[in-house]
Parts: sequence; structure tokens; C-alpha cells
Amino acid sequence: MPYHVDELRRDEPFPVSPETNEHAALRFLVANHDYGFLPSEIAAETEISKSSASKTMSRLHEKGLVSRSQGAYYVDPERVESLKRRLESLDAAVDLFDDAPDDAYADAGWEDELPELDPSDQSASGDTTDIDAETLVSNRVADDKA
Amino acid sequence: MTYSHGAVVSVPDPYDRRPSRPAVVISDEQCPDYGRRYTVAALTSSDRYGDHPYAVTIDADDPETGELLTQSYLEPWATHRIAHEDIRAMHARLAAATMKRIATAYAEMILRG
Repeated sequence: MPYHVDELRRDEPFPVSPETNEHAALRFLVANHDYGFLPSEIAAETEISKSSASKTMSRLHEKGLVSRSQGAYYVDPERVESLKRRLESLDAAVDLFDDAPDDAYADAGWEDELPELDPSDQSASGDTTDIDAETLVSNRVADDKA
Repeated sequence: MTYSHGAVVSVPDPYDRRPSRPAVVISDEQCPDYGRRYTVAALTSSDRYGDHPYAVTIDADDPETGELLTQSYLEPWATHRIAHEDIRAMHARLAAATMKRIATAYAEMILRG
């Protein structure tokens, strides 16, 4: 079945939401990536209940985020860095939204009112400014006085 | 494909409950991990934030390419590190002159503190 064009153009959202059992378990496994853990051990080390730990780990495994061997779950060493980056980014995005005031960008569909640019089209002016910070501020102070 | 320094991008809500938020990429290829993640500064159209001395006013038609929804304010105090995959789209690119105004706001914030 062909992919919708949106799915080709956009990167997949991270398949784990913040403040979920899956998030807590993945965060734990990434932080302790030198070891593998049974679901009961993950439950003991996180706020995930024993009864839901197995289901949580199965879901993470089905999503391809964690590996499993002899009942123990672990993060593929080659994926530790990228998963760590995604988890940190998830936290950062939560902060970005927590800080966001109620403004025109809080209205649904604002992105559709704007053009969407191709990031690989690097038609920058090339007018880079090589100037030190202190000079920027002193120029600004001089401008303010003028 | 990377989002360039000065790109105005949208970042989706990780909870998928609210519309995405706009932000400006302020890191460049000299920063570690550039292309995999970006340092971004938040944008808002709220006057409450725009009245702040370090806020940088950016008119809707100010970008070199593309445009903003309305007159907006860059919040130098609200920076975040966002992974490439967590950026939805690029809507505008700010000109070097605007980036210089942003740099001045950061310099003031840091040097006058």
C-alpha cells in the first residue's frame, strides 16, 4: 500500500507520549543501557505497577524501541544515543508548550495559513555578521541615544 | 535535509492536544549534533511577552522568505533543544539583519545581567 505523501514528507512523531508507562520504562532502560531488565525489575525501579509492566514492555518491543532476550528488555547499544536524544527532545517540547502563552499560534490550523518552505532550498542571503556580542550591545546603546 | 539557522519552524505538541508552536532555529552547523537536533527560541504573538525588554519584535512580513502569521516576538529566555524528527515543517527564514537583532537581545540579556 502506498504511503500518503504527508508521511513521506514528514518524519514520524515519536511513538511514545510523555507521562506514560512506556515513557517511564524507556527512560529507565536508556538511563541503564548497560543492563537488561525483566518487567518485574523495571516495575520495581519505576512507578509502573507490576501488573502492567509486562504489557508496557511488550508494546515497546512491538514498536521496535527495545530489544528482548530471555525475557529481559534492553536498549540496543547502537540506538542509545538516538533514543536519548528523542527523549530529551520530548521533554524540551513539553517545556516549550508549558511556557507558551495563549496567542494567535494557539489557534488550530495556523500552519496551514502560512507557506511551507523546503528546508533544503538554501537561498540564504549569505550576509553573515561576524561581530562580537559586546560590540552589538554598545552599537545598540549608541543607537538608543541617537 | 537540515533546518537552517534562522528557519521559522513548527514544533508539534508531544501530547497531540494543541496546535504546534512556532520557534526559530538559532544554532548552526558549528554546534554539536546540528542536523540531528537544533537549539530553537520560542516565538509568540502575545503582547504580554512582547512588552518585555529582551523580546525581539518580528513583523509578519519581515522574514526574507515566507512570512509569519502576525507580528510576533522572539523570546530569548525560552530556548529549547529539539530533535530534527520533532520539527513538523519550516514556514519562513529570517534575514541576517533580523538574526542580528536577535543576537543583540541575547547579548543584552547576558551582558547586562
